[in-house]
Amino acid sequence: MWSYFLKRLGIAVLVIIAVSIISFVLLRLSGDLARDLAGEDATPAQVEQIEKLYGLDKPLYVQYFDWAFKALKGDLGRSLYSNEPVFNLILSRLGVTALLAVLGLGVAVVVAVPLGVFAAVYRNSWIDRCSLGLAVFGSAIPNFWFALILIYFFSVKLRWLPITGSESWAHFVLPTITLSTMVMPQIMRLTRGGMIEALDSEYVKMAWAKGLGPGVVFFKHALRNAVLPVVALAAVSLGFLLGGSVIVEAVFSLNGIGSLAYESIRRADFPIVQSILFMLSFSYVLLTLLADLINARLDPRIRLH
Amino acid sequence: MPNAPAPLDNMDVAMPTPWQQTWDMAKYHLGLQIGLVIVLSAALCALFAPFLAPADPFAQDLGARLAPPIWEAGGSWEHIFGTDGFGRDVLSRLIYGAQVTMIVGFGAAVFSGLVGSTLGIVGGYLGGRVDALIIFLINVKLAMPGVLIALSLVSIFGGSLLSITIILALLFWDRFAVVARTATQQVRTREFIAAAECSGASKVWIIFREILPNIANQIIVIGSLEMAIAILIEAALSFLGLGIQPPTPSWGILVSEGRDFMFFKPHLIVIPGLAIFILVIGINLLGDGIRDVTEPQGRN
Repeated sequence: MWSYFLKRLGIAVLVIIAVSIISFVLLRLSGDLARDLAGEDATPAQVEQIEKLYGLDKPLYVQYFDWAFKALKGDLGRSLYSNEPVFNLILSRLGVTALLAVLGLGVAVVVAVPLGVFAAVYRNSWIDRCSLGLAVFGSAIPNFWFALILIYFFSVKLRWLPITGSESWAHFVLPTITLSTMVMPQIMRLTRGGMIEALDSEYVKMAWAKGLGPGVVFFKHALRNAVLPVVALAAVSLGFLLGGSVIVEAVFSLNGIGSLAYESIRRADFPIVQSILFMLSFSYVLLTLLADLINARLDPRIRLH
Repeated sequence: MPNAPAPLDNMDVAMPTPWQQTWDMAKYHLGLQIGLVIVLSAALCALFAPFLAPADPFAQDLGARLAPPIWEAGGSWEHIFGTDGFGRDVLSRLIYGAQVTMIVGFGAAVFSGLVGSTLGIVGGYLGGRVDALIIFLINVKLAMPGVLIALSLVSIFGGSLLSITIILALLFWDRFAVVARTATQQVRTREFIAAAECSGASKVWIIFREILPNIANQIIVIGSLEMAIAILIEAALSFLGLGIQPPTPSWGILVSEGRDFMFFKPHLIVIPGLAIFILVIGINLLGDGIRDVTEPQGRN
């Protein structure tokens, strides 16, 4: 178990370092940053001054190490636009996005896992067809458009829910529905596939042969094995939802990480963009590591292999 | 001789070729046919937009702003889907928008397919350190938030058709790599690979002549999936204003422009959104259909 964990951790650290280098280099490619900051009428002397101030005159790898060591100490730099510390800006926006991602994933799991189980148990029945239709629908609908259609029906026509904002729980209903449809299809299909495989297996036949009831067979024997890949997918989906909420936040005017990233990209405020990219990658790697550990805990074959 | 075996030409009749079997299955595969009709229609719209569009998609007519569609009171055959906030013909913009959608979707799928399948096949066939490096690359790619990276790159390199196609291709090669790698690993243990190796075939020969034909159908299915995803992401980027730039009619831009009028002219967002939705369903149906009819296990 420990050697498995250490190996995973080692790879995770390497991935994080690689991602931080890539996102750093990508954003420094964005033309002559010092000139952009100095403004159009700046003299060469002023540009040079700004290069010195932000350390942009140093070689790229020196700039990277400067950034990385500061980041390790929690100093992500300051916004080029508002001069506020990036760390505080991100912290103030994190709550909305985290809440959205958790709600979106929660709704998706609560709907998709039972649907997948029923679809597998009653294969080719109407419930199987319905869940398949839902999966096709969810993976083909443009989410920004789905959000607008939801607003049109529930906020404009029916007047049940507010259009934009984040003041009350009602403001989160439509964004949560939009986000959950982004991950529901995969979770449903994976649960269904896993359940079908489990139900056809020898140990489930054995469980039936022992005379166990359907509840025990479905949930204790089959689902426990079928749910393994779903756990991993759920963790990955959470990371995906944290990064993917940019569209939902833009449509519903929610002040989360996604809208902060979007505004910062438009303003070329790259310390913020870079920190958000890094933070999202970091949380993704952490979540997949967690998923691996949960899987190893649930499935002895993985940790003993 | 009474016990003589049946002549061989009778066998040919009894055993149709793989292509014939694929064709026979395709004839009865409704999903495949619906998907094909949808994708072909979009492709035809894109190819022949100048002939199909009833009006110039860029021509503004501020006197005829927000004309209603044909099914609403006051609608006319001149503007079947009405006009937008600048008085431009919505149907013409929709037809021209198919160009952006099909070019970006198809281009991104082909580019990312080339990158991803190459990495996957090389990793799966060679194994060892090369494979470990490729798995690492896939992990790094998966850890990066795709939509945000795409938004940043578009803001750096601009929203031209070419730059968006390449950016999307560089972001979505991982699924090709994962599938091609797994498929290659399964194929490389088979006897015909060993036979080719024994007869002195080069690695390049084996990859192109022995492995690629055996995993091609899986790569094509992923290609359809990635084309659908690329179309959705392009629409989302354009909707957010960091994709194809107006006045070019991308379907995402059409939704974004219609948003200002959605409370009293909902058809301005419903029509382009439905176009994206239907095309993506069509591509998915086509991909699933191709998988069903080309699977070697499906032939009987």
